[in-house]
Amino acid sequence: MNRPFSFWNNSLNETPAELQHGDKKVSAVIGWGGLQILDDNINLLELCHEYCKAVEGFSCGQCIPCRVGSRVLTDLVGRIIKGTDGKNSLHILREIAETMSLTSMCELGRSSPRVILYLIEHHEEKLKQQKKTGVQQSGAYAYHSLKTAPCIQACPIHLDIPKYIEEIRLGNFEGSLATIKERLPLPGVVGRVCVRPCEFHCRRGLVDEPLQIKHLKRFVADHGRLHPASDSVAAPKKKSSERKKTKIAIIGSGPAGLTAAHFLAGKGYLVTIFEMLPEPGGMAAVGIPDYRLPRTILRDEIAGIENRGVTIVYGKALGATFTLDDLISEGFRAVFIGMGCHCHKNMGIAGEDKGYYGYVPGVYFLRNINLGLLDEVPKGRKIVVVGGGNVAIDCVRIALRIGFEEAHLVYRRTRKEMPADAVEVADAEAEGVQFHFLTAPKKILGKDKKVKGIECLKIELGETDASGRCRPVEVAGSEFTVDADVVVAAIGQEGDFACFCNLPGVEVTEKGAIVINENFMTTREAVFSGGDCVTGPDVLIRACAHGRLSAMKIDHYLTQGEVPVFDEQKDERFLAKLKVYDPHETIAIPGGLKRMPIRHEPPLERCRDFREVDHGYTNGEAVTEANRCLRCYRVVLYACRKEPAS
Amino acid sequence: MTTLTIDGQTLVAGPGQTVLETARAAGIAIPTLCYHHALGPYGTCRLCIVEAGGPSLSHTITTSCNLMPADGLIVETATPRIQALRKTILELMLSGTKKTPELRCRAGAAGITNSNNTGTHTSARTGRISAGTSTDPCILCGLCIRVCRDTIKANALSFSVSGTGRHKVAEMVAMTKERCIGCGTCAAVCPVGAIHLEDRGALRRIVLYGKTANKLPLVRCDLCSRPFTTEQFILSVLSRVDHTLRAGIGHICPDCGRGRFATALTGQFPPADRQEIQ
Ligand SMILES: Cc1cc2nc3c(=O)[nH]c(=O)nc-3n(C[C@H](O)[C@H](O)[C@H](O)COP(=O)(O)OP(=O)(O)OC[C@H]3O[C@@H](n4cnc5c(N)ncnc54)[C@H](O)[C@@H]3O)c2cc1C
Ligand code: SF4
Ligand code: SF4
Ligand code: FES
Repeated sequence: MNRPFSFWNNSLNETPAELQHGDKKVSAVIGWGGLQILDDNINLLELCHEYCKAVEGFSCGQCIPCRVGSRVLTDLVGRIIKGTDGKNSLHILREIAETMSLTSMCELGRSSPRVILYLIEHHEEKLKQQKKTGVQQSGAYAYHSLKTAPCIQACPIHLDIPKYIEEIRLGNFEGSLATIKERLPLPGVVGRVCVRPCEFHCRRGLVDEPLQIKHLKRFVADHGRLHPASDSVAAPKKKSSERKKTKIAIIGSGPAGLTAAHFLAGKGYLVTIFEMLPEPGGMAAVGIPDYRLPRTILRDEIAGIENRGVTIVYGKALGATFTLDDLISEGFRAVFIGMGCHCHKNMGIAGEDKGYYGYVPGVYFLRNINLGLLDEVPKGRKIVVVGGGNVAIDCVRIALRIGFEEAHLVYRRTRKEMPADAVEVADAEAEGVQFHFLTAPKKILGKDKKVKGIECLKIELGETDASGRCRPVEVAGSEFTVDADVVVAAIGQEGDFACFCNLPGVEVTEKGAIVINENFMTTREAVFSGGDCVTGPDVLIRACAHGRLSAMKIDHYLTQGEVPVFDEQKDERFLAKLKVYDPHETIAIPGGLKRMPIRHEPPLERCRDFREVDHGYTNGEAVTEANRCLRCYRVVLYACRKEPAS
Repeated sequence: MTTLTIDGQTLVAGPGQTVLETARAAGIAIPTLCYHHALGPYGTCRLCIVEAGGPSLSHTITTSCNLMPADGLIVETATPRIQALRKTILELMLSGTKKTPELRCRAGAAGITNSNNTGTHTSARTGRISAGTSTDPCILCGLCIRVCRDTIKANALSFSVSGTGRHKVAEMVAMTKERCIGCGTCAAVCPVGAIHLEDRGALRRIVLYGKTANKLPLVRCDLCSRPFTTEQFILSVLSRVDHTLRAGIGHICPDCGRGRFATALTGQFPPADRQEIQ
């Protein structure tokens, strides 16, 4: 009998909280972080044995302590259970586990045996007793093992980051790209513009600096482009004739729609994308400027998706030129809506509604430039952009590139609070953008139907609000005027996104988001949705993650008639509770290895045209950077009581 | 210049030198398997572990082959703890592989007299594996792969895994025949004798894990007509030579080459009293 307890991530808890995996109650967890016994009938030795088997299976086999040590641990615990071990077995077990955890090359071999050491140190009596009484191989529990890493868990689409980095380290660039493409059809795009949540949870960051995960992804994507013959994408699965006849419609060719199309086509469906604009790619094409993401990269990756048998129809807008009912009557068996969120928020200040020439919302400003409709873009010498997010930064930087001589950015908090990526803020600064922090717009000034300037106010930061940021307080009487020919409002990312055409039968929230359940199903039969149109303005990789899952859900729906919550979704939530990334961990390894820097085009030259700002890594640089990875794989095994056979 | 302390000696590390290299230069022996001076550190055998600590590093056990010196670093290469860990690592390695003479000799040379690695002690510790399941001596140190890829630039060897090993990176070494140039550097660099070259008549075999992995015909020497190397190897060497030089190079075996060079230099070779050897 064990009393429930939990020793996890270095904290002991005598009254541990219940854990669920999906709708199943978890009886015990053993893994990198320690041990949680939640059901007192669990047999420790049996749990250990199953765990050691899992570690042995997950060991990559490169270094000796883990490759052989994990085999020996499994074997030894097995013999203890059978009673065929020698006298010293617990002592030997400890010695091997200790060698493994102190000397293994990567975190898998280091973190996994720690719990064995903990057990022997704190629960030796229990182990001995369970050894004596013999283990009833009761078979009452089912054991499941998982392998993850902090970076994998942080990535919305859960790319196997340590694996693709390792393949770079070993010089297998094709293999690395194939690993990424298993889950993500847009590696060149994401490798350039991802907001990289993984890097913020990279354990190497606790030692010196996080890995350049995004740039490594870009490197293998570029390598694959230059060596197309070696771009070994897994051939689409054998198409079943049933699926071949099944038509699926996708609304919107943004990252969500493209990813869904990629995986559905891979399964053999006939996929048609309906896109209202003349250009594919969604915000990746008409939002993100070319100097961050060259259009050829995007178009090539989209061409790769089209080559799998996806048709893109341009100039067709759902709700305007056709309806959901039309699609159904044309024989489409399922619809995925990935129409994004192409809205903007007004600043709510005086002068905005005057229709002045020279006042534009940021998304339209970018869209017209990105579509080459320069006639639609207001001209001038000096531009003021209001906002602190990525869209605002894109607007000021692109302004310099279309001929504005002076570009100013007005933001009401400080640089520290800017939601925009710090790297891009620094890039903008290098290009000569002038920042006005702690400044709020008050009134757009116009003359002769044209923008003349913007009146601003000074701001002081007050107490922290619910979102954890300081509330801006206006300083009375601090008004001042900034002259400008063009004013761009780019605050949309913080607000509402009511921008929907009517979708009969599909429930939409007040703010304008499509309502879905955890299976990406809308309230209308056979209609699925994902991406920015369900989340509001978000990031590219999450849209891709939605697209991928939706594709698998649609396949289930069409082949099995029902849609379950997937194991990987349950795993994700379960692992989130176990806290794969622990920001307080101390990691005793030699540090001081800086990340491989990125080379850039010179700021004052690049800011006059649309050339790509960042250079890619050379082979050598990529391998050197890949060598910094700690391979923080972590193994966890959980036990659930088996359903009594009825 | 970085100054550090290794086993009580104050040492200055040369530019780019690792802790291992600094120690060796000062005559301090640290056992290694996967390190090779021509290829640099790799970090998989883990035998080169040391205890290290200092201003930039809290006290820890780490491999010395890929540890860069830092000012004030204090390294101990052979504490009882390190010795014990090394012994266990070696024992694990020996129990996971077939013990070739080379491997036994390495174990000895590494300063670890592990006399009972095949005795009862081991079988209690490492059971199933030492029961003789492993028939190949490869310790997956990766040296052959690295030398073939980085130095020879043929890239004919790679780690491979069986179909079921989704999480594995290395289970064995495999050869891509088409890329192999038959130079034999892999066999020369293998620390345990898992790869051999066998020249019989005008045929060279590269024998990996006891099985012929590749067969290549040998080219005969223009002077003595003894088969001496492969066509692919010659092409590979020539490809690295300036094209103006290439024209004058014939197929001459190392022995005749040496003879010809000596004749050119001295006007007489072989020495008169050894003429009969030719
Ligand atoms: C300026 C800007 C910069 C950004 N920078 C980054 C960045 O650096 N990193 C990052 O991760 N994310 C960034 N994002 C966010 C990212 O681009 C989006 O989160 C992502 O593109 C959302 O993908 P989606 O497929 O859901 O929607 P979208 O990309 O918006 O695609 C929707 C598509 O549907 C089409 N469509 C809309 N309505 C209809 C209709 N009725 N019928 C037919 N088609 C329709 C649209 O034309 C569009 O092509 C940025 C966004 C903007 C605006
Ligand atoms: S998973 Fe890590 S610790 Fe285990 S064998 Fe591979 S490199 Fe070594
Ligand atoms: S060091 Fe490597 S495995 Fe660890 S979190 Fe960073 S990228 Fe992931
Ligand atoms: S020599 Fe350092 S790990 Fe092998």
